[in-house]
Amino acid sequence: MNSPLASRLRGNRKGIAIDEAVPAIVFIICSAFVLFAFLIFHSVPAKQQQQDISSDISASSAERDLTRALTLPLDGVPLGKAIVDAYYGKGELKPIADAFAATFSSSNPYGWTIVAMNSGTTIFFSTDGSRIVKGGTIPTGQSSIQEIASAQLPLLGDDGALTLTLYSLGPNLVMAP
Amino acid sequence: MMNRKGMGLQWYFLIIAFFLGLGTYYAGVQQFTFNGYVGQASLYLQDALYRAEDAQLYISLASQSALEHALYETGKEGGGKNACGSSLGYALWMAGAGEQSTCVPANDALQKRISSLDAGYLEQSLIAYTPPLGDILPANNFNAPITLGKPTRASLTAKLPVIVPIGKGIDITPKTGASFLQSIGLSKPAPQPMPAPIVPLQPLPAAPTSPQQAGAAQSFPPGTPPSSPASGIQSTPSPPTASSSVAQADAFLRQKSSALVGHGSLFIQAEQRTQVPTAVLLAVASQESALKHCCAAENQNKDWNCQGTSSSSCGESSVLSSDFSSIGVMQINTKVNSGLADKVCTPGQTVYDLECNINVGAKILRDAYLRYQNGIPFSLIMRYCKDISLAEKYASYLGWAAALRAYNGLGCSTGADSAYVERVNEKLAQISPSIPSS
Repeated sequence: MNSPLASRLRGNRKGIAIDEAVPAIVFIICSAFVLFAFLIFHSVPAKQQQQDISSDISASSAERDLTRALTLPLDGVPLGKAIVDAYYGKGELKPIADAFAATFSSSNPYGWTIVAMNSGTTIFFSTDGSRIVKGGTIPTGQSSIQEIASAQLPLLGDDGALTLTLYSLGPNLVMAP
Repeated sequence: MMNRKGMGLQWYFLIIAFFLGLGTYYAGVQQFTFNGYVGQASLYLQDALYRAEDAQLYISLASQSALEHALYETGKEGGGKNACGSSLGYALWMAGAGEQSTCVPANDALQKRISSLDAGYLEQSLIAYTPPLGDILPANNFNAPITLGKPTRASLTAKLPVIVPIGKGIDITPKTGASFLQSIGLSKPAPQPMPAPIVPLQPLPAAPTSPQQAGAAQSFPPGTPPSSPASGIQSTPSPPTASSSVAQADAFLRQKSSALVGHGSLFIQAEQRTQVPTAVLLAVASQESALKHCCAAENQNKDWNCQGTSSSSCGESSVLSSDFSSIGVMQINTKVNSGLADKVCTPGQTVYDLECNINVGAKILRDAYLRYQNGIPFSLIMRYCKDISLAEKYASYLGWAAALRAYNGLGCSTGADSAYVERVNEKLAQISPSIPSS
């Protein structure tokens, strides 16, 4: 028999000390176990958090860059207006794509593409040029393409609005016009 | 020397203390966990700023385009006069040398015509704007007087501000008297007196002859129910002079023989979150569902066979449902609006839960009020309602009446309730004796 009482009865001093320390040892072990459990289940992985922060910051910067790019003057009118004019067949797409390139090339080293679309027409502006497609599709569904900002431009009367979406391209992907 | 009993108790206390600590920690974690990172609020603020810039750019470009379009159309139609005939569909502005004065309209008439066209085109463009993340661009919100000259100018003046919530779609409209801790949900707000109930003080006036006559801007300071003269729905002015309580809301539920007696606090809490007056919420719920949420028998959950119960949550087969996918006490359309639950409901709740259903209904009403308090644009109504007289009636609503019209939808064909606003107004008249002014 090895209980606290047995050690005391036998006068075993070492045994008495160990017996009296048992509750504290059990408590410390349990506490450590619980602490580790909380650390595992409640902590946010540092890498994940870094990615979240980085993604939020780049999305915020991209939103700012896109909005400000649309206000830049191009031949005396804001770029946003030039895009609407191009939608209606007035003006060239190339100068617009060049103006976008000046803004987005440095922040998107692997390339970028801007898709301006409404229900009937899509205009692509990208690293490699620009084009208008009737009923084109947005290049989503590929892991190396990430939507990072969007804006809207007003069209005339019942035509609604032109939605601009800025995509950042990952490595080894080229959006050919 | 310890006795046996004492040593046994020591173990028990240790175990109890351990679990107490664990429980306290969990309770603390639930209440104080911050799901974010340091600096996130700054980013939210920046995002809101950029979204505001987006909206400003859109309005600015819409204004330019509207004016260009108005000038073009005015030129095409001869400024409304068209006295010199036309060629290839375009009006002639002069018939010959020295006769220009006979074809060119007077300056005032020309300015009026351009202004009218400009206002219409501008509103059409603004309707097309799809605000991200709960941003609200109020309708019928801009005065744009035209100054003819070289160049012709439109000076845009907004009656109400554009509302840009800070955060990822989280509505953090400050509440009157709420502290910072309360506004981020870390402490319970102190009970607040209910703002003055909205009571009908006058009958509905005749509809204005045109949407443009539909009145002046309404303001909606926090905690102050706005007034809406054209609707017949009015409120007492700020500061609130009336108070209401859960008991008074429950008294109305009892008066209407609703099984939801005891849940009056949910309507008052919804008001505290959204500033939609409890009286309006109760009146809408009364009109929409006769104050029923869950039905006693499964699959007997239509308005004609539902026996209301006091349950605050039930499944698809028991929740009051319409043939148009609308459910619950506020008749929330599950196809269109159930996603709002993520924004305004307690995590885990859906529109099948009474509290969440009321909160979503209040959110829809609040957003509709903020957007349409100056009136619903005529061109928007005409997309859904081809009956001109009803469309004009809808366009004449202001303030809460416009919000109620938008809540019920803008359709006017068979099945649409074109007298919805008046019906809710009748319910409000029944509520006011239950929630008296103090």
